Amino acid sequence: MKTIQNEVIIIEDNDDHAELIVRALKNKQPHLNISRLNDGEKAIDYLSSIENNKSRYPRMILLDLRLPKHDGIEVLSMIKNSKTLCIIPVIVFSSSDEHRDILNAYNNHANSYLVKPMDFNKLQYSINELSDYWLNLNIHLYNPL
Amino acid sequence: MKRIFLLCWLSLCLSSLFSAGKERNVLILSSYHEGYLWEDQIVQGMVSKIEESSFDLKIYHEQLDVMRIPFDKEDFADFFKKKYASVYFDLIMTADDAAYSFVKNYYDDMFLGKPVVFCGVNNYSEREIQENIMNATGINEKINVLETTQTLLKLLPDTKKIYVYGDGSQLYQINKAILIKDLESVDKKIKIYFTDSFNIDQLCEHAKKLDKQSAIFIISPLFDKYKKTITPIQKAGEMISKNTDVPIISFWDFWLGSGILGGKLVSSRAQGEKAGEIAFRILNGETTRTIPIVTESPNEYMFDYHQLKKYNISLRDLPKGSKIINKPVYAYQINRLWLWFFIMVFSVVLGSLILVLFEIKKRIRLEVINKEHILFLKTFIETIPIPVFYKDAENRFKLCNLAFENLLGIDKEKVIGHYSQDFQHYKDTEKHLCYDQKLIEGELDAVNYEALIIDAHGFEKNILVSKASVSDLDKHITGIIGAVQDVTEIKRQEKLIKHQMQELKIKNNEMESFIYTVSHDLKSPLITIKGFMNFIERDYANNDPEQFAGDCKKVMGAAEKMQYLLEDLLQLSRIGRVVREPEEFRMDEVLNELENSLAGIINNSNATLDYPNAMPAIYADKNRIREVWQNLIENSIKYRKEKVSPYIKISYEKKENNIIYSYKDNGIGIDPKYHEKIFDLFEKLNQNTPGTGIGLARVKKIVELYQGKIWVEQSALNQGTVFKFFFRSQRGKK
Repeated sequence: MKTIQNEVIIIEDNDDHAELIVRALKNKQPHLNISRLNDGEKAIDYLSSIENNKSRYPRMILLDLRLPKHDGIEVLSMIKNSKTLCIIPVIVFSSSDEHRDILNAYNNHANSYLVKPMDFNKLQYSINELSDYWLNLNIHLYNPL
Repeated sequence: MKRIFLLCWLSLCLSSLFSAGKERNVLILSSYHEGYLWEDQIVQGMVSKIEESSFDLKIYHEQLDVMRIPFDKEDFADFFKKKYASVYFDLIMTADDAAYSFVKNYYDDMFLGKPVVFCGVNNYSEREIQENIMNATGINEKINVLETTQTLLKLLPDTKKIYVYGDGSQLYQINKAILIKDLESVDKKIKIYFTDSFNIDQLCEHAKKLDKQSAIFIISPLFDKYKKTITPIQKAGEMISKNTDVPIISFWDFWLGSGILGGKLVSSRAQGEKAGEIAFRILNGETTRTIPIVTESPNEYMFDYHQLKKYNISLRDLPKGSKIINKPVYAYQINRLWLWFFIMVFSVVLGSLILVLFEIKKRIRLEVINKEHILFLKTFIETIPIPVFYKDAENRFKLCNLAFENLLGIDKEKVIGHYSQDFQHYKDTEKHLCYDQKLIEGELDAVNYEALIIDAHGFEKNILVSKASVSDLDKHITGIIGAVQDVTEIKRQEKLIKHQMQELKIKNNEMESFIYTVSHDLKSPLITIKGFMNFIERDYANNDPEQFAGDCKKVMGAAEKMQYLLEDLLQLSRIGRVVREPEEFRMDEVLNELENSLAGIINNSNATLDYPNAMPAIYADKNRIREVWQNLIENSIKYRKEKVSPYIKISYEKKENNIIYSYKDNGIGIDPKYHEKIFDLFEKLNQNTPGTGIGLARVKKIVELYQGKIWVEQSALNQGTVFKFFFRSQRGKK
């Protein structure tokens, strides 16, 4: 449990964006164990492989919507339709601020939706806030005490 | 005593006076016999007049029969005296010469003092009569030879010869003498011939030979070969008439009707009546002395209608007052009442006829108007370009116009009288019949519906049928009138519009998703640039040149990516927007050109391009087609297997109207899951390879521009890829 306690998975095809998110996350919580998957197929494959192994569940998933092979919504719905994986908080992370995208994400049970801000400071702030919230909530889930 | 005697005498006188006033005995003595028309008519004429008197007449008729029986005056006188010894005659009437002669001879002996009224006497002059019988008056029978002859010459002016027929008797001789005398005044060019002693047979033979300029004049009775007078006298006339073609004339009316034409004839009846009138006057108290002898017997112009016809003589040419026998009998002569009745009936009929004629005239006028209307309608119906027809209640075609013929491509003759179900052209016969039935049963008044037919050229056509029931004045439905509208084009347009709308919607969606994709993909490098620019500031503040350089590189990379994206997008947007003139070229020419222009990457990767030498020519924008091949080739080289030289095999096959091109490589292949997705904009299966993800989207767009299609025929990971595509040549393939 401890070993994976700090794992966060970033599913993002754009290397630069992924790096930005990593930097934003690590700034506040340098001990986070961050994994990255760069397309939808890999994401689904990986998540399927850990579906029955709760000990390997990440504390949080940051999911881009536009992904090669399988897009973010497919990945999201795969997670949220799984009886077990669905407990993992998924923060959808997209450059789109279109209403339909946001709605679509929430309809597929995304836990949060974050529009990628142009300004890194804002990004950092948003990511910190969100991860604080979800990571802490998660602690309670796993540690009912 | 004396007084008694006087009384007796008076009474006697009175009685005798009474009886004398009451009863009169009249003796009619005629020369011939009963059945002899001439004499019968004289006697009838006499009797008709004397009967008008108020006396109680006793008429005694005796006939001498001189024509048939040799006549002995003495014997007859003896017989007569004995027979009428006790009869007191008040008046003696004689008919013809023989009777008069007898009375004259025995007047003193038998008839002394008795008044005598004679007629038909022509043997004696007026003076002779007066000398012989003092107490006699009557009618001198005068024959009109001249008038009769003149009438003949006037009616038949060609007559040049007159043959006089007779029996040579005393009568004949007298008449001949009169004739010769009378005809002295007639034109000398007219020749008169006498046949004094011919019997009937000789006369018939003679009559046969007469020419057209001849005429026959019978002036006495005729005799047979035994010198016996032919009785009845008319028989002789008939015999001669039968044997000749020339007109016969005479001056006695008894000849009339037995073949003679006519003339101014002595009329026996008129003579008898005249004698009767004289007798009537004498019976009423006048004496013979006060009544002069009638010297001109009442002769009349009389003609036989049949003979007039035979010689083409018009009734108008006849002398005025002429009597005509054998004339067709007119209604007026039959019966006045009947005549009036007929006139009435005729008037009514005529009136009705006039009314009917008026009605007919009106009808004819109406008919003409009607015909004009029909003609107008016919022309109208024929001229309008809308197919029109009329069917009767049995659903048989009764009428159709030219447009209808043209629509179905069959002649009117093959339409009229046929049923809908007879036509192969109808695809919806059931539908038509269903509506027809509803119209005929009155369930519907009018109906509009769509149907399909095969037209004259074998094309399927959409038609809009408008039908309405037609009723007569009694509101019985007599048929169906219909018009057909060809709505094929409208339908086609409708379909086209629908299709275009759909396409537009798709395009719109595509556009929307394109803009969406583009805007977000363009945002992506911006996020990178701005994000790393923040870091660059920090790196500078932290004086970390290594980090600084790295972040700068990232910013540059993103900017570059953005540049490529914009360039590619521009290229993509040009497809379909920038239209170059299409040209005809062979596909292998394009591939050859590409092989040269891509020689750099082909050689570097040691790739082989294998394509047929003579590929079919197509007609299109050559540059665009080149782009298709170029993108595919570049992809094959880009996604080649490690350590395997790319081998590209291009082939084609003709299928239906299209040429299907096949493009096969031996690269890394594509997971079947993504066969559709690879054609999407900015879709890259591998993020680590160069490029913007626009290439295949562009290929697809070009192919679709030419109404074609591209798809991945076969590919799996590490199995190489086969693309297939076709597009339509812009013009017919050569």
